[in-house]
Amino acid sequence: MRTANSARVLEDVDLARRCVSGDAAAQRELFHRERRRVHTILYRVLGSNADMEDLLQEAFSEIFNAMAGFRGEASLATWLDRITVRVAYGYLTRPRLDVVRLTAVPEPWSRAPGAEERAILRQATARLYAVLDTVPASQRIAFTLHVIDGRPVKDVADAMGVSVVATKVRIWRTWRAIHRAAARDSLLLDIVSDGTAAGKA
Amino acid sequence: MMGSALRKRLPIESLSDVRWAKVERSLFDPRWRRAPRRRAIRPSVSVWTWRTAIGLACATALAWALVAVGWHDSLRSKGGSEPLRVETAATPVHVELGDSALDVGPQSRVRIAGDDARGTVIDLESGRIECEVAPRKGRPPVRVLAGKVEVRVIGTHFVVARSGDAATVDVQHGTVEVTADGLRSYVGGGEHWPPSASAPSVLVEHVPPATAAGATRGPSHAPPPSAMSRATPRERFEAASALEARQPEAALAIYRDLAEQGGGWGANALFAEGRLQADRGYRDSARAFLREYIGRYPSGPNAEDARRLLERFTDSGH
Repeated sequence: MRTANSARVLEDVDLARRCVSGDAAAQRELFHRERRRVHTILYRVLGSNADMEDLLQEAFSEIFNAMAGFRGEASLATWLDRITVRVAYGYLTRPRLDVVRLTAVPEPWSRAPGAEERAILRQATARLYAVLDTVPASQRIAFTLHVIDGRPVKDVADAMGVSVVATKVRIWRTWRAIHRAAARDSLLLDIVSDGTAAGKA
Repeated sequence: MMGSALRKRLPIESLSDVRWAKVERSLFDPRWRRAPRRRAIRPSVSVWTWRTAIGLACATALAWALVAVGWHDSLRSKGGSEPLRVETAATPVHVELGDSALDVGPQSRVRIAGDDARGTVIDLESGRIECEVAPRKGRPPVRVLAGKVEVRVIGTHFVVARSGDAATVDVQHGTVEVTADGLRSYVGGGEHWPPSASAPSVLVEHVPPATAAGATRGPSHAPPPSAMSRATPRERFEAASALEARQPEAALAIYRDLAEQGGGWGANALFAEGRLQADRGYRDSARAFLREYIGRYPSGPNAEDARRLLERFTDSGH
């Protein structure tokens, strides 16, 4: 196992070195290898987002620009997580233009099996992320990566560059905000509890 | 555990191959490299005032966009979708149109008609818009009308501003075709229309009155008719040849026009299309042009070269 890990680190350092030297094939290799990881973090933290392509571009641009600083002390994946979290944090904390989406028209009602459940889940998810919009970005990131994406608190703390205790506090505060909102919103309560939102609706 | 329940119930929406390709292209293809779309503005007033203004502007724009259905049928095409109208107050608004997008500047009015299948027409009534149009890949072009000025786009990033009857066009990358007062110009990346005396770099040709802006307002995919152009085929071929490095899309448009007319220069233009696309790395497109050349001119002066180019594609496994 240890040998496998060492080999992986050497491979990562070599890939990073080739990326830094301007090797386009290496950069594409890194992009294809890690794009889902980067997308997962952005999606979990930000939810469904029309700016996702721009954010992915921004994240990988940051990654390539910062690649010279990768020394192999941490795994490349952890290092990528940190940069992606920074990009997500930057997105959440900067003032934004409001967006008019012509696709914002309500979807036609479907009679396909499970359509109602999916519609309710989508609505509940939107409400959950609406609550997350009201908490500080650092709390939102800690919560989404640990609770929704299932990463260990230690990994989340590493990605955010803070202590485990600070991360736990952030997660707890976010839970508190969600529970307060859920007390007034049965749909939200359903999605954050073990019940089935669609089944109860 | 609540967390595990949440995790199971909130699947990640995967990105389509097309959207991944867009991200990859923006990262690695210099022709598509651009700064990520601007999303941030600095509030110059207190946060609450700013948020209120944004909310009001957004609500106004959204209301316009949604209630405009049924209004102003002049842009409506037969059997097609209704035009949409966006009017901004003090705040700019971002509008998504399929895989293209436009930022409508403050104090601007825009009407949007058509769709990707039949061609989109964006009528700038006043103000400024910044457009990012995805490559059309066989779909009809996007057209922007600004009074008597028409901008025809096949995939680019550009800005159109209108003040009264005057309009200007600034192209960030790609090439657009601007028609005004019976003159057609090709404006490339980094260029401005109308051209200034110090930088008259856009290629200009005359167009018959029937195709001038304002004469046809419905979506159209017609190639630029240039049979009545004053320049001879040879002059046009040479003009296109000179444009290849700086404005390849403009060169291709001229070559296409010539190729459709046939004749000796038409044959040369058809081969030139294939060669230019091959040089640019668009192998599928190059292959189609070269095959068309060999089919139409099997003993033409460039037939041997066309076959050699095609063989090279085959040898390299593409």
